[in-house]
Amino acid sequence: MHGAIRGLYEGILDPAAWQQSLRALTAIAGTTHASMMVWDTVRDQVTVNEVVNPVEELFLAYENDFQAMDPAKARHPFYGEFFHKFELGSYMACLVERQPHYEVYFSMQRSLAQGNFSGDDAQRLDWVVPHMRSAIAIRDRTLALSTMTTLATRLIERLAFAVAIYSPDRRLLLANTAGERWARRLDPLGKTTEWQLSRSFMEMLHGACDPAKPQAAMAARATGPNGSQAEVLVLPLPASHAFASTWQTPAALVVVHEAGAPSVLLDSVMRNLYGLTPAETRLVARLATGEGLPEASRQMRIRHETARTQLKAIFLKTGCTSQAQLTHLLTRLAATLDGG
Amino acid sequence: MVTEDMHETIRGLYQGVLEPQAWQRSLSALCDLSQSERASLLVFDPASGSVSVRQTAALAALASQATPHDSPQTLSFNERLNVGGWFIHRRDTGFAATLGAFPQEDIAGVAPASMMTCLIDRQPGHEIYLSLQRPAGADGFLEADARALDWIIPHLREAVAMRDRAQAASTHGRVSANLLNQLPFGVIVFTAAGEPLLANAAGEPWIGRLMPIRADGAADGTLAPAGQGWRLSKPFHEVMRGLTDAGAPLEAGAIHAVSTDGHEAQIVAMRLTPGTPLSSACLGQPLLVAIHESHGTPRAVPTVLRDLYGLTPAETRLAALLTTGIGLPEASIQLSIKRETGRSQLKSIFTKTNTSTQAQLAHLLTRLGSVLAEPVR
Repeated sequence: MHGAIRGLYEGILDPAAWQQSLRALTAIAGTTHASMMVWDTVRDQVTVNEVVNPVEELFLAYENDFQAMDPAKARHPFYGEFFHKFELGSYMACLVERQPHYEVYFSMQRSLAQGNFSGDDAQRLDWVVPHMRSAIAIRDRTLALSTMTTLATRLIERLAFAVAIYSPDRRLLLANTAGERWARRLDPLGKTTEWQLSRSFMEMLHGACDPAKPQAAMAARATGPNGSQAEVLVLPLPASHAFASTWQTPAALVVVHEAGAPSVLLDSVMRNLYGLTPAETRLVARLATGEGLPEASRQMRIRHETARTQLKAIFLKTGCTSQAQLTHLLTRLAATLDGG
Repeated sequence: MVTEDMHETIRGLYQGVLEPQAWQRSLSALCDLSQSERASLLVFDPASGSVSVRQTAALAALASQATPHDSPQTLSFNERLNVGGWFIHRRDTGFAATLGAFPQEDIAGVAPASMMTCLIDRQPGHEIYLSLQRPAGADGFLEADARALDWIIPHLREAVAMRDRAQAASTHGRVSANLLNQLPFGVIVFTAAGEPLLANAAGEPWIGRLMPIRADGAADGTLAPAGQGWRLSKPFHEVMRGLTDAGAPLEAGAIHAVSTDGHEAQIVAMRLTPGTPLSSACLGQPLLVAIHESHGTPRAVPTVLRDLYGLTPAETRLAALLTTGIGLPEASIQLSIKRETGRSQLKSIFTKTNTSTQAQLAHLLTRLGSVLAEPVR
């Protein structure tokens, strides 16, 4: 019994555990088959999602042909006729949970040889139903939580810069892919790094996590092995007070900006937002990182005059009056367009 | 023992995976079951030899008297326990030796007569114990008392392990929520059906502006006034359709928004990581929407520019102003500095930041401003 209960709750994080649990229940109740059924009350559809010893033909037959005529999903002579074909003698079901849009049933079936269920059989299993109900509730909440986390993780991947979050004791709490790469460069854990910082990384982390007086923002220039440059920003990430006390500790947000080509998605955004032509879009992509018009036209092998005309059209369409303004707009828009 | 109580206690343990309160109830129930005055979950760190109390519950009558616990410093047994094994401490079996381990004295006038401890789980970095204490005057714990509680130990082990996993997941979620709030632009994630799944603080007000909702869920289908004061260059659902089109989906969509009082915002929408379906299939392909509104330069920028390039406050002010796209003459007027001063400051900014045009400077400053949202808006 305790094993069966544990399995139900283990199923919160590990879906396979329900199977074992239902198997244990079939042994306790002396039945052959057990299943969980979800009845979608809006679409009036039943799906069977956890099955022990499934009678495949039965479920197929049920889902294909008999569901439509299933009278109220309740006790009915219908079941007698229906199950006998599959050598099933008796059927017992319990409503585990009723929600606005669906109902969850636990059902067990005995084969003809095992005799019929009686009221006592049902009562003997009464204890399991509240456990099922709480396990389902916890599973739903956990699922919601993990969906949120998955979404946030993927959102952070889209940022055009490296992000890493450190706890005060230098543990890496969270990072996007670029952030993980930088975590190894900035805090190589004993190994030597080829990147030189204009200011101690540890010092900045401590400054951001100082509970008494966190530094608003700190920054350092990083110089790589082949002279490549990046800007490292360290900011305090305020503890969110709505949450449990264990997570009230401050954290440090580390952001690294590297110069790079703007995302290819910027093209489609500019076309959508301001109706730029393909030629104008190509020019915009070059100007996005602050490149000058002469350099851009040379790279694109167009005449300077042509580039000038295109730029004028771009200004007109975007409402910008200077290249600085245009670059500002483009850089802002590109902030979430990475990793597409 | 009453079976319902047992099931209720078990349920509480697992509910405690998400709600610490439920765990508290179950520990209290264990107190009742074993006639103890206090039940605690202890975490022992073999490396440092220190013990910390993870959760403790006392009988209702005692709870009011108990003062907050100091962390006990040591945990010692006459024998090494196996997982699931019990150790019963009594005055006559060396209990005095372990008494100092727990701050019993803080329970006014009630020194425990007996204590029993079970090793719930042993992990490489820590061991978890359940400890029950009976007050003086009560009977000491016997072997049978321990046996009578054996059924709870595997449940405790499972619940503690699950709670650790759940907690790791929720930390991750909370840290990312904090991070998203730090961004200087709004973000929202919608399901393909237009259900908002996630939004940061700056994105929140845009949910209603982009997806006009039915007035308080009324079935008559009346739509709230679209946009709430913002005029969109095209309806958001059109952009969504373009992105989720089964045939030839667009890579990204964008909308220009103008408010009644003349503010502007650019809205960029795209699919979130194409090709990898979420664990729950029903969500479909989620969409990421970013909303860029024009705000002034974030307040943290001056510090960053000073740290990175050693810009003076005057130079920082000029750089911030130039980023918005105005020319040097106008910037000089706005800052009430002489044109000549402005020019020499700009030259110095270029040298220090290793840029050569205002556009490059604007790119650099905007990039640096990407995570420097104002703390409160």
